[in-house]
Amino acid sequence: MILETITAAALGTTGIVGTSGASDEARLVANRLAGDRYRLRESYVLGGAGNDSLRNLCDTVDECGLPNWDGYGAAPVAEETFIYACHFLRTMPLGMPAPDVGVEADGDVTLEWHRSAYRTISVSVSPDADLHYSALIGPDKHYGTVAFLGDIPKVILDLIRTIYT
Amino acid sequence: MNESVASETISPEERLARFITSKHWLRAEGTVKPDAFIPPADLNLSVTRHIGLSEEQLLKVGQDVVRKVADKRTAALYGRADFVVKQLPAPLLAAPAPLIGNTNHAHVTGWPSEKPAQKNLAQRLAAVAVYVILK
Repeated sequence: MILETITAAALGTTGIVGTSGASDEARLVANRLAGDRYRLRESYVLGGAGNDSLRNLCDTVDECGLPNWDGYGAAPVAEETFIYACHFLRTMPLGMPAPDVGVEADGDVTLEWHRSAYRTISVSVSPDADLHYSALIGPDKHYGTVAFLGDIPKVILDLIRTIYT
Repeated sequence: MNESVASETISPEERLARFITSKHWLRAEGTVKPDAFIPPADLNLSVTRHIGLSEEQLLKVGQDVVRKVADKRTAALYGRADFVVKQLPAPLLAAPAPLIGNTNHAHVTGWPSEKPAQKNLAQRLAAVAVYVILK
């Protein structure tokens, strides 16, 4: 089941569409752009950090797919969470550093970009397509929730870029 | 275990340990991610008080935690994240929660119900926690 889900997520057949355009033409263009981006990414990061993130995501789901995977009563990672996390990684802009993959007690998958204790952002991917984020940038704290509608929300992209500038 | 500490209030100077039972809670650089501190649904984060325990006794408590999942997967105890009570960001507090077999068990309480606020507190706790590899 995991393998089928991985394949579907990688090929973009999850039903998650990265555009708000509703027409057939808009959908066609969006799918073609997504396909081009995916092929470009494959050639660009083959064997690199992006693939490591996807591999780590698969490992995480395999190891944390049962209740109480942490010995403290944690919830398992849901299939929907895995699909949204896959899609998040697939839609990351080219050139953006790959995140470290983790998991939380409530079964959310985390994607973390970390330079130091006070220059760090963690995004939790939930099974209901919410992205909960929190960033520490020096003394400043930024946190909130945004819906994942197929494209990575600007507030998260901007925070990731700030971590690395 | 130290039976006498079970009901004692926890002083701000006390050291607490959160056992690291998933490799996904660790960064490659050897620090602990905030993921390790996200509370479960009941908002009581399990920790163990160092007070009155030797390193060996602390290790045994961690091994008992891991033993609970050993029948489901290859379980491992990767280490522990240590911090001092006074390092807890407000409004978090530490309260004794003794268990049979671990009278030093405690809870970190005071977590908000909103996930982003939990993440922010967990991130600040991870920033001050020290990862200790258990030998």
